Amino acid sequence: MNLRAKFAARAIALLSCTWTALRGPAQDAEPARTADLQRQQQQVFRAALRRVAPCVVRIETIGGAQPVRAVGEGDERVAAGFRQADGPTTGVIWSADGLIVSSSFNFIRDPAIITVALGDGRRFVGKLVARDQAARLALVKVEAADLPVPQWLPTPELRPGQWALAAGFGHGSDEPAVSVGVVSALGRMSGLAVQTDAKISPANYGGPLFDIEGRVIGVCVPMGPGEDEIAGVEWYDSGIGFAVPHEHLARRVPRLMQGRDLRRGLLGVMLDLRDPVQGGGEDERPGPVAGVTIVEITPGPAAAGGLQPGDILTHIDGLPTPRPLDFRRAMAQRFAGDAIEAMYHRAGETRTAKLTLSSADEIRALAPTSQPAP
Amino acid sequence: MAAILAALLMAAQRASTDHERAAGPFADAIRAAQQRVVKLYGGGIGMEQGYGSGVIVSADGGIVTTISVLLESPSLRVVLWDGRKLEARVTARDEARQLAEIQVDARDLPYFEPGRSDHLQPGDWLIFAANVFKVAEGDEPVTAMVGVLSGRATLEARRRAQDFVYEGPVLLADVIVATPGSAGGALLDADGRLVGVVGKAVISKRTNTWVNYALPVEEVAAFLRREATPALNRVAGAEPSASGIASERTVEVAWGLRLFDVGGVVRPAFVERVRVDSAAARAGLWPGDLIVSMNGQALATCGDVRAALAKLKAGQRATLVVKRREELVTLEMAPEAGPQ
Repeated sequence: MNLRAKFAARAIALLSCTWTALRGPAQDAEPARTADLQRQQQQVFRAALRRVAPCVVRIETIGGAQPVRAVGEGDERVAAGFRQADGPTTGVIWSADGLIVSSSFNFIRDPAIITVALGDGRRFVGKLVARDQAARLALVKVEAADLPVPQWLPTPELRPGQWALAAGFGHGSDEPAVSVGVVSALGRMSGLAVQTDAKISPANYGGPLFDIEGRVIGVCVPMGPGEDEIAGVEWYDSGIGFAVPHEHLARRVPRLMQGRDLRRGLLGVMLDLRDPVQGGGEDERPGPVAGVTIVEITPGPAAAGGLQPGDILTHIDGLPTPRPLDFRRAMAQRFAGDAIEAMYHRAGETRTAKLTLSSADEIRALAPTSQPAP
Repeated sequence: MAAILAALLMAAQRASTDHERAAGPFADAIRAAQQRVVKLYGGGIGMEQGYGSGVIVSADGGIVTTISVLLESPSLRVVLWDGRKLEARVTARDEARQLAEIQVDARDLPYFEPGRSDHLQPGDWLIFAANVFKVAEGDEPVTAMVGVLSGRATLEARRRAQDFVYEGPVLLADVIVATPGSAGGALLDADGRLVGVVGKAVISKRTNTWVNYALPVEEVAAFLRREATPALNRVAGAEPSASGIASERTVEVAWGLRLFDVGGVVRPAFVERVRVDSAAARAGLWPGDLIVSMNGQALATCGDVRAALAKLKAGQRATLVVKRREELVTLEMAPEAGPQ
């Protein structure tokens, strides 16, 4: 056990014995002084940061163009007011042989050069392996061995209210700068993200969200209303931040390792979204089965599979989809190019269709062309 | 160890009342801050607010705040913790640090002795006190918030369309201080010591977001001692002096290389030219190489490389790491042709 780990363990021991004192065997035990708790708490924050810091890397990117934010459709893309800044960004070591998880936000510019600096001062050239459009992740590879890997907190152990700290190099500090908060909610953003009130911003996108023992909960990413890759940045410092937890990383990183960007898998359907809580109970919905009703079909996978407006989607790969939210959660785990089985209801009959999901771009390309720009 | 701790805790508990025990040190720090942070009012101009904050730094009415349009008001008013309203006059300005000292006629005020902030580590508690959004009226105490020290960095920011002049060290606060009225407010440690004064709200060039920062108290103390900052010269001179550029380039000339330095915010240290038969050439540097580190120290910009070269003592070898296409190449710069 190295010194830092020892320090961390001691700080945690201090805190837990104070907790014991606080809770005490007897109901009327003297509570610990707030003063001591607060001092010990501070030691624990320091220790958690020290434990995680060796696994947090500083990423510098050089070159590339400013992002163009998609506003309107097709070619009518307009650069919004947002400019990607020039500062360093952050990543978390995924494997000892040089895989680094970060956020796709940090590579919006398609930089010509990526360098990755470790906590010990070593610096490598990084190669962007692939991006995950839905979870806003990116995978970077450096040619290195024996990198320190973090201890991950198993996602099922997460509980709202537990401490959650974020760290990142975005402000140009020599050591990762920290923000302290709690886990606010689980399974947000179609189930992809953990929500936290730690201050998540470009200062720590790609950096770790970690617990008080220095175990990494997930990787901080921008998420918010809208689909484009900078959506959610406007929520910085709002108390609403997101990280993709380990259970999703564990599923998505192996796919990213294949070197192809992951894009949302779409069916090419418009669903009946009039009532956001529809289908919540058996009785409150007039439809014959619990499912989401297709109101419109555009050229794409669903059309190719023979689905029609009026069909009610009841399952995606066996997962029930009684509400639009359930449908979105099921689809968030699937990507363009994936083959899925959709179960649907039509005229009292249950049918299934095997469909290959498309990306938004593919569906857009198939759509009847709107009036071309003059 | 648990037994010792428990004994200490018991002793501490006996010495304090239930009331104090429940409130803890934040309460003491907040009380100290609220008596020493003042509300400022004056005329606002355009988007600039007509209110702000200041920190009392002497018993006879010396107050530190940030430079703002407030200081230009014909009537600059200070409201103390007890609701006293006093006229203030500006006694000193530091353009480089964007700090000002103002003076009110008063005696025996509680004040902060500017000390140090270097004991703080990331994750340590911070207490922030200021006239945030001027929610505190009359004799109401200023707003207090609790957060932690996020880290330390040098500021690289802009305010509206202009570069922000202060580019020195800052404390990054994990508490929202980039808010109207907060500039000139105090950051304290958990023991109630002043560790920083909140600067003007600016947008970081590195993140494109508002930065929650404060000038470390050491900078405030230096200002009160009327010490110049290196940044001051840059500001006063407006344009960098020709001699400054010449001396920067001299380092490159001595080693026989020229960096591709086109200015801008990020200036990666690409080698533009290598002089034949120079130290750089003998080391094996090629045009197009990106210098990433020297003697183990990461170098991000042309300025970093020049500074590192300038620091080399005569005869000292330098191990350079450069990025050449997709490889990192290690090169040794031989000393004999180095600068004498």
